[in-house]
Amino acid sequence: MNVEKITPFQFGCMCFAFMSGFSTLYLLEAKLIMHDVWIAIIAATIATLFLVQLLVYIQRQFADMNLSDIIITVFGNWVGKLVLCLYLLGMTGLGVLSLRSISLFYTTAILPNTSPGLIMAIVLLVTTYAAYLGLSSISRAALVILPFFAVAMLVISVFIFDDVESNPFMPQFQNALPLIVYSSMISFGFPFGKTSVFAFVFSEITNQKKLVKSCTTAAIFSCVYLLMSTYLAIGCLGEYMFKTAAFPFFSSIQLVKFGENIERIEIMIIGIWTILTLFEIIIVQYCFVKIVGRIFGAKNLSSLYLPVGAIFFAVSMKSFDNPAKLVAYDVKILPFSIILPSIILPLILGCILWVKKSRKNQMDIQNS
Amino acid sequence: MIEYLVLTFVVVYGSWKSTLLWKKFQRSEAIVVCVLSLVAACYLLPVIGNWIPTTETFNTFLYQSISEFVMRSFHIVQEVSPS
Amino acid sequence: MNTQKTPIEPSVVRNVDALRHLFSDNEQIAFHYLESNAGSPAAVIAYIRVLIDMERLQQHILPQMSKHYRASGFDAQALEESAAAQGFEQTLEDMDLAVHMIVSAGIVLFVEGYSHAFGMSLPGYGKRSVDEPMLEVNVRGPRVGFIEDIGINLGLIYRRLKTNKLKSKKYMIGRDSQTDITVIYLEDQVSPDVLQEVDRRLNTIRLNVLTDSAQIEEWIQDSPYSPFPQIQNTERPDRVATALNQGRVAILTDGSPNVLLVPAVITDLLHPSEDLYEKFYFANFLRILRLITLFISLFLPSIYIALSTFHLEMIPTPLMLTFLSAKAGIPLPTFLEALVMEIAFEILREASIRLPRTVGQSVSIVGALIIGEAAVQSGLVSRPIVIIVALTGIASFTIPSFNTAIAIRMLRFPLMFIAAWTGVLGISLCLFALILHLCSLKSFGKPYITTLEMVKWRDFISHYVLLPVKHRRLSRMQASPALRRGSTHEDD
Repeated sequence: MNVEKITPFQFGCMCFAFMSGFSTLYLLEAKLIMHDVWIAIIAATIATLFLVQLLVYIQRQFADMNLSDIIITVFGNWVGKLVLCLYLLGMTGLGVLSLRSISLFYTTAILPNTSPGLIMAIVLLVTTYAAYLGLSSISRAALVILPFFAVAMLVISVFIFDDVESNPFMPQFQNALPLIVYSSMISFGFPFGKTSVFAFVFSEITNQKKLVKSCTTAAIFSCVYLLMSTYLAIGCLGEYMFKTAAFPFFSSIQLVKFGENIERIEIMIIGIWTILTLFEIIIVQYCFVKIVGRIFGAKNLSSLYLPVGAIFFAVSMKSFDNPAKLVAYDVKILPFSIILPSIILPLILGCILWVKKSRKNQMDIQNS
Repeated sequence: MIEYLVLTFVVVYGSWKSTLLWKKFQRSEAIVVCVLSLVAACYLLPVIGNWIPTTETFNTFLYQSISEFVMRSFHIVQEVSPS
Repeated sequence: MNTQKTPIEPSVVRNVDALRHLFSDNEQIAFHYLESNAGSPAAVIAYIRVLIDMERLQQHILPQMSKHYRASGFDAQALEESAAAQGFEQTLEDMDLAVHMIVSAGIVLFVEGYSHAFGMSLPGYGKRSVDEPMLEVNVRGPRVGFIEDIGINLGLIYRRLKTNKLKSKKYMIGRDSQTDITVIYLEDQVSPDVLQEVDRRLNTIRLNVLTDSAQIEEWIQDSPYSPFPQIQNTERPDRVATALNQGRVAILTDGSPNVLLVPAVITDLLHPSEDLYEKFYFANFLRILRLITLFISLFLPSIYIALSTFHLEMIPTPLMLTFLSAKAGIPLPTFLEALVMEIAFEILREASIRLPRTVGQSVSIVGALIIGEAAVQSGLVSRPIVIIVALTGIASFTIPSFNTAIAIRMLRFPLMFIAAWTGVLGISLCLFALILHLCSLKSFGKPYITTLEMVKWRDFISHYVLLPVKHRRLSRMQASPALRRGSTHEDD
């Protein structure tokens, strides 16, 4: 297994791929507050930037340690392992959601006669292989994919933009504040909140001084991409069609025509997009194995990737057996379930470290 | 069908790999492989698999009431209409 | 061959006995005695008949030595001087060296009373002349290719790089074959890490018989189970000279016309040496074309299968109607049609390679025309699939590296299968798995694919785009610290 460290630039690109992969699939927050969705997205991005600062602060207290080790050092062996189990639970949830989303999308829009189990199995085969290869290969693959993705998306966006007749983000402030807050929570739950997973690979980056810069840039680019997609999808489809479409951005891509002959370009775009979505599952699997290895004190992790892939498959098969459940979970449960691993636990960790550091400083002052 | 294939694979891989690791004196790794394979196998077993909680059921159990309370307070129950 | 160190005895008879024992049951070993005035053997010359230049030995060396020996009154010192004059320049301190000299097409002189022997190389086996390479044919550029003789091959390279910085190191690999291997590099361009790694890996090779550089290639490459070659091989001295100038290391094998170049990145395998002899914009156009043909040769049949099986709506309506009408009445599903035609194409290609060149060409033309047409006429396959398979086959011929082309041909079949099973999703996943695999590969510690993480944009671009000759960097290793270190640790 490759254990090479990666550069902050590679990390930033991987972070973007991780956050943006699925972000445009449902656009649930936009369905809730339509014109004011930009507020929700920006608010979620700002929350993410604070979260990044907090996670980097924690990492900087223990420069060479993995977040798993930091948690065990701070909370102690047994409580620490319990906290790690909570993270495992959260990661399984993210992996299952991603797998189910991709299978739902394909069985609904592209391959109606193919079984979701088969789709999830072949997706997991590839992601398991990727996780097994290690972070260096994953990040290099992200660097290969991203330019193609960026070009494809830019071209598509330019063509969709032709169909946008009025500014879909106007008129502003049409929704009540609680609704905007709730939409921000949805947006934070999906896609921004999962940034906390990345804290488990902070120690594998060469120049830790550039962590904040990489993560912030990735989050801002993800925010821009999400805003752009939402703008184009609402503007192109109109309010009613946007609300009724299961995958609004995909529906807006379907309307793109290149001249007279190339009528359906979306399959090609979906091909590239599918690859980007895999990064979320890969990173989650990679971190899952690392944490499991830490809990059980296993050094050689290469043989764990297949069983972990099998767990993801098994849990996915037993979860979200119909699309309505999946969307309802994204809207009703995810905004709350993400709070514990992404906000509360890092906050507790940060507070403990801050208090310890303050005490130590006071002791030093007293001693001197 | 695919579930049974994966189940067979997990059982075969788990037992083979954990035995191999145990013989190489990598005891922790052998135990982890065994535990993980067992968890996956349990989920894939026809009857038992349906009883074991998933992240979906676990999180729904934990957060359903909070979610309903918040949505009721924010008056957004009617507005969320998943397609 | 016995590897135990055995000293050379002062007695010629005992040395002959020892050699007879070592070469027992070998009728090619021969001994030629020079007798003293008393009639006892004063010296003996040992050699293997089939390896040496018998004509030179019998007509020049032996008569001259005998004549001088007799004229000097059978003096051993005079014999030694005569031998030196004939070319016995090497002093062999033990029997192992003597045996090695004999098996390496040399002759060995044992003199009575001397506990060392004298050796000279006198190869007499056949060699082909320096000719144009068979596999790397260029329109423009040198027409010289390597042959099976390492000495001549080294000469071809040394002729092109007239500098004292060109260094070489010899190895001997193969327990029984004792094959000469020479590693050459430019001292001021090469990365010490790569050089050290080459040395380490060559020393790990354990083979009985080394017959070709392919065996070394498989032994020393980073991922031997990957279908993609991580070591470049070439038959062209100009290509080796260019590679050495880029800071790479060349490994020459005696008996093989293929020189190995390390480290190799994927672009080295996709660009022929001819690129350097064309105008840079034309070369770049060809590079883009080759990338497109690479994609076609790998993905075209699977994309066709996916589109015609799962995503018919993606094909423009007039084209779709043409496809559907061509497909009407064909009993096989598209996947089987494509599979049958691809296998037929591969069989034809294999047959045309194995047969003599003139017959081979006829077979491939007859096969392609008649079998393809007959298959369509009989309603076994549709016309579009014949076009797809032909296009794929022709596209695969544009890949300059034969090893890479084989890898692509091999990967096409699982891709077709996946496409028939899961359509565009399967193709996307396979493409991603392929990218991941390529990203994980390394050649002597250097990344196989150059991605955006390289520090300077110019270096990144120069890996894919051929810059005008004035702007090309001398050394790849000097140009790129990230590549030189072979890691991705470089901070951005």
